[in-house]
Amino acid sequence: MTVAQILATRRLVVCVGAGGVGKTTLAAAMGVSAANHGRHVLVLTIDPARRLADALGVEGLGDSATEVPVQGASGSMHAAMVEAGPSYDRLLTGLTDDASVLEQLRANPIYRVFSRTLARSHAYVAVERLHDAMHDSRWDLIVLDTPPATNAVDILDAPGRLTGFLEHSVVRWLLPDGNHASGRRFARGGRAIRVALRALMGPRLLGEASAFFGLFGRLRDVFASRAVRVERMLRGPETAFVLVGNPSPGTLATSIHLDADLRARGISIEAAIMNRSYEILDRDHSTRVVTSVAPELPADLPDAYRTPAERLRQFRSLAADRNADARAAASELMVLLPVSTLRLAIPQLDGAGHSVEDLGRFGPFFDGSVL
Amino acid sequence: MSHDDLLPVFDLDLVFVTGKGGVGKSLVSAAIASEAARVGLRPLLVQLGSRTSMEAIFGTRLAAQPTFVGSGVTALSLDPNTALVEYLEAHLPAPRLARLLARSAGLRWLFRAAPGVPELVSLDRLARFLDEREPGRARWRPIIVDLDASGHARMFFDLPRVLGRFAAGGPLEPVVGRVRAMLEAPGTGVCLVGLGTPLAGRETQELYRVLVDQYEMLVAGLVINDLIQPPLPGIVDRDLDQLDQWAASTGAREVELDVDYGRRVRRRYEASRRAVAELRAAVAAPCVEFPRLEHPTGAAALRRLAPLLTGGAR
Repeated sequence: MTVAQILATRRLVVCVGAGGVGKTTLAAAMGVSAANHGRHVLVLTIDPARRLADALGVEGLGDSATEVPVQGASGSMHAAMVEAGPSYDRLLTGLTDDASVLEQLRANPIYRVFSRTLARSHAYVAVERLHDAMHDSRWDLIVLDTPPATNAVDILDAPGRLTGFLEHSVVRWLLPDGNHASGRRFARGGRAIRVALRALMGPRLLGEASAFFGLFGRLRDVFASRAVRVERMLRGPETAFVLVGNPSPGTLATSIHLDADLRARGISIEAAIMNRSYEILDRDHSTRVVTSVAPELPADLPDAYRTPAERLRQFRSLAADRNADARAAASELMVLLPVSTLRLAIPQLDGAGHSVEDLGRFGPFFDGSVL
Repeated sequence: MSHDDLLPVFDLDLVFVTGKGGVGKSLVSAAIASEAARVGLRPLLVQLGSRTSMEAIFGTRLAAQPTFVGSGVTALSLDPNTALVEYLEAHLPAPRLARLLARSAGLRWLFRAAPGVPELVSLDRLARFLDEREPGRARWRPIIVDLDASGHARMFFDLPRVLGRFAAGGPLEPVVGRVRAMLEAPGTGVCLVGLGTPLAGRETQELYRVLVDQYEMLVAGLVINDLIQPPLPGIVDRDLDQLDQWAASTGAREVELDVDYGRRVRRRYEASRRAVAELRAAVAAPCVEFPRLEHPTGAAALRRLAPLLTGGAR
């Protein structure tokens, strides 16, 4: 199994990994590779930085899909950056015909802030965008780029969390007309909590929060069914999770944690890509990881060239040692992964990832399996 | 390598260290703390949330309360959940209520999910650390905060604006006001961390502009991390060309590969210097360059890097 094969056969590829490993670049490169192999791809990023736009050499990516021209491709590529505000607004419009609910929600200050704040909304919005993309016949593959490390598992937790929360008793305490299911003890606890919340937030803010949850609660069923669909997709056979990492100690530790977090949620990583994990030391065989270089120089080397030749040989030899060390370090993560997980090492590719043409340089690595 | 120093950072009361993911913010935060201790200040290093980066540097998990971790550094991990409990205890009229709220799983979810709340309780906790006194002076100075990746940094600095309207006229107003005062104080600033690669450099520049233009934060310093040193000093292009020609004519393939690799690293170095120059030109703050290290973490790395921050000026 190769990454190219994963890209050829799946409906959704989710890229997870620590910050700074080149995840967004690789997600874009996967998009290019898939387009070159005849698929119609949407690369979706939920990381708020402009990285994907930079990697694709595209000016600004918005919430709707922008075509990315891939020269000579038999398929096609589009890209979009999930933006909380527009996504939520669009989501709401698609969810219900009840005009008054929509109007009140849009006017609710808590909704307005909640739908636009950077940090936490992204997972929920990504879920909604995924749902839409899954049902859009324009694309047969979605490559999803997630924010660095810890937030990545939010995408799995998000669908269940929101609907679970809306069921939770606490929300009922917040609802203006108190939807208490059971008896007095329940109601007493709720009263105390309302007192505490009022002391913390003040009556006005508490009122607005109640209104917000009341409105959101009315949309609960719609959220729930969408959430079920996305969750099923995320966990289904058409989806592959790809971990992107590198051999540095900090990143390895984060990658190991990520794998554990995903496993705890019943997800197996299908491919682990160690990016920038070796230096190309044989320019004619870039997929070969050179881990040792013989120190002997040719006997007929002119004396005048000996010193620079020795230093250059030593320089490349040290790089070969570092390749060996990196491979050994990466194995710390690799031993934890299931035997069936594809392992791929990608070297430091100078200057790659600044244009669509450049992203094509990752192609040969996706076609093989190197470690 | 140029020799600015980051002395302005050491004159601050509160330093937020931020930059895109993976640049080495934790290492730089630790280096600032270590150097601050060495020059006789009383730094407190604060890691937000539980991440693994500080563990690799100090060889131990950070505790929830200030604890000495070596290299002259006192540090803690500020977990929003713990900060929430402390906030509740500090702001609720009865301890019983605080316990009740803290025990409710649903409420904990609500607080974690609600925009700005984790940031608010964390910033409130920071404000209380800033207020701690020992006879005649502040107990901790400077407080160095390792802020995780840029997106969350923005949430922090934007907090007074986001919550301002909601807080008005209610019990949150003085809390938000204090946080705003802390962020706007002249003794509060940012140390930006970046890398010397074109893509990373551009993103760092973007972040700088947001910090200065949108949040009006003082950027007191820039650290560019993980920089490669001039490769193969003393070998000139002519050496490479001649050796390459000889190797090609005699079929000495391994020698050709040696030259090719040497040239590639040279080009990489030159691209890095261009990226550094561009970043330095775009960021109006003193800049210190950290070299790439063989072992980029641990006490040895701190010993090597921390003194570069003051350039031996103190």
